[in-house]
Amino acid sequence: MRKFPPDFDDGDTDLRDAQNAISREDLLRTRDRQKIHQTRSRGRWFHLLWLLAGPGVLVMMGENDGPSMVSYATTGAAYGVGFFVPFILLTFVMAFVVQEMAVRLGVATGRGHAELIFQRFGPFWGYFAMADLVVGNVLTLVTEFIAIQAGGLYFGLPSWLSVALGFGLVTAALGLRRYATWERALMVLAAGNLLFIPAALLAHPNGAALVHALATWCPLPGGSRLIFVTLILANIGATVTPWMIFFQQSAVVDKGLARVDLPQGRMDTAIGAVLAAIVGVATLVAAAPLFAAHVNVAEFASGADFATALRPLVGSTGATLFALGIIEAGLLAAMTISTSSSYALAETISARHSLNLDFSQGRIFYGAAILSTVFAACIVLIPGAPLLAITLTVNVIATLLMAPALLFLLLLVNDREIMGNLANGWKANLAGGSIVIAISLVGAFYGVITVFPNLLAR
Amino acid sequence: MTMNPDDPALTASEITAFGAPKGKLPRRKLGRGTVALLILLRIYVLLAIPIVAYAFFKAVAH
Repeated sequence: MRKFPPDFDDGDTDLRDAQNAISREDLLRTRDRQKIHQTRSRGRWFHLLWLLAGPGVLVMMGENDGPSMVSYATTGAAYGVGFFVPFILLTFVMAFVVQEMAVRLGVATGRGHAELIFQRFGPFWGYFAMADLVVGNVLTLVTEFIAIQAGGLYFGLPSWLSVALGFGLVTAALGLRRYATWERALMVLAAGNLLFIPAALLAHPNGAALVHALATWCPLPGGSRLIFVTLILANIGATVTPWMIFFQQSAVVDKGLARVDLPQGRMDTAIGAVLAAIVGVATLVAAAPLFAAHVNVAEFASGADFATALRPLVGSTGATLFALGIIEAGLLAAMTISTSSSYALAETISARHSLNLDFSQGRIFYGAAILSTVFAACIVLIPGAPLLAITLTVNVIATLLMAPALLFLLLLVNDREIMGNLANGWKANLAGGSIVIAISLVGAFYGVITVFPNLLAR
Repeated sequence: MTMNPDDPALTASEITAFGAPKGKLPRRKLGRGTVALLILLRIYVLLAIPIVAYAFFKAVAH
């Protein structure tokens, strides 16, 4: 629907002045706000939640991306059902704690994350934060196309065709030029992430083992400590990454959420976290038959090899669902991560940034998303690239980059000048601080045992 | 009360609210402890990335 107030011709000069002073994106957002206002005044709470949901669900389901699903599957294939089942749930609790702060920052300030870092801390720290984001986003975007390409290979599609289709869909989504439509289209796509649940059921999981793992965090993983720590980092990186903070805060602002919408913003984030956690555990469970069959996943070239290896163990339906899930995971994340880069870049250089913009108004905003997508797509097509190793490594890098990103988030969310009464309390600071310390320590431990593998070897 | 979503009066007031330009926020003065922590984490990242790259190439070589 493209009916805007400029269609009005009622002689209202105040209205016309307002229209001239503001942009199409503001008008579109205003219409959305109007609908929300009406729904709230009628007391239709489920409808209100439906209208305000989106950024939280998308950021959580978007983070269940190609490398994340490969990390969960690798964990399931390496260790089966055990310690990592409750650990994955814990990582989503961490994700909720972090993302709730991003929502609060967005509704309190009406500004994106990059914009706030630059304005409050200056360009020196701003460019460091942006460098972390760009490195993390570009590498992760490459792995999303690895997932799309790998899923396509399972169905016999040549790499170039899968990658081209993926690029076409990412660009087509941007072509919607309307935040609300883009968001709803992506939420439909995100429902595809749930394919991992029937895939897990087709693996005939042992319910008692699952309950035992949840209750006791056992059995504990054995074998190489380096692999164990790598998977710890990869699983954290599968859930908590810098792009999520930048994306959700900017999306909250683009959607036009206000302070009054904070409860629904939190609920949206919690729903996303619960759904994504269930899918994460389902992916581990779906790949657990590979552990029982002693399949060596280190020899796998990509995420689709999990589907191929699972076929004789769980049947072709389960394997097909797994491969479709991998494609969906890559595609959804390619859309959200490229948009996260666009928001951050445009905010950094004070260019206009909204999915409500026309292409002519948002050349930099849309250009950044398209260029980063083209770059990632081209990297994937390089023959002989070690795709599975890249995928696992990207999650580790994302985790290492998370500590400074979290510190910026904590500093901003404790800034009472901009947050007012929405600033962090001591409980949120304790939770956020603990996450920074935990991530930094695990990362440091990873570094030590990588450089000195014999130090703790067994 | 039923409101028409295309009510121009309501739209005009909402437009004014959202169309209002956002001024630049003042720069915040960071304390010594905060700067030290930011530098420490920067060093942490700069040391960690080469280690991850080393682990990656080692894994690929095997």
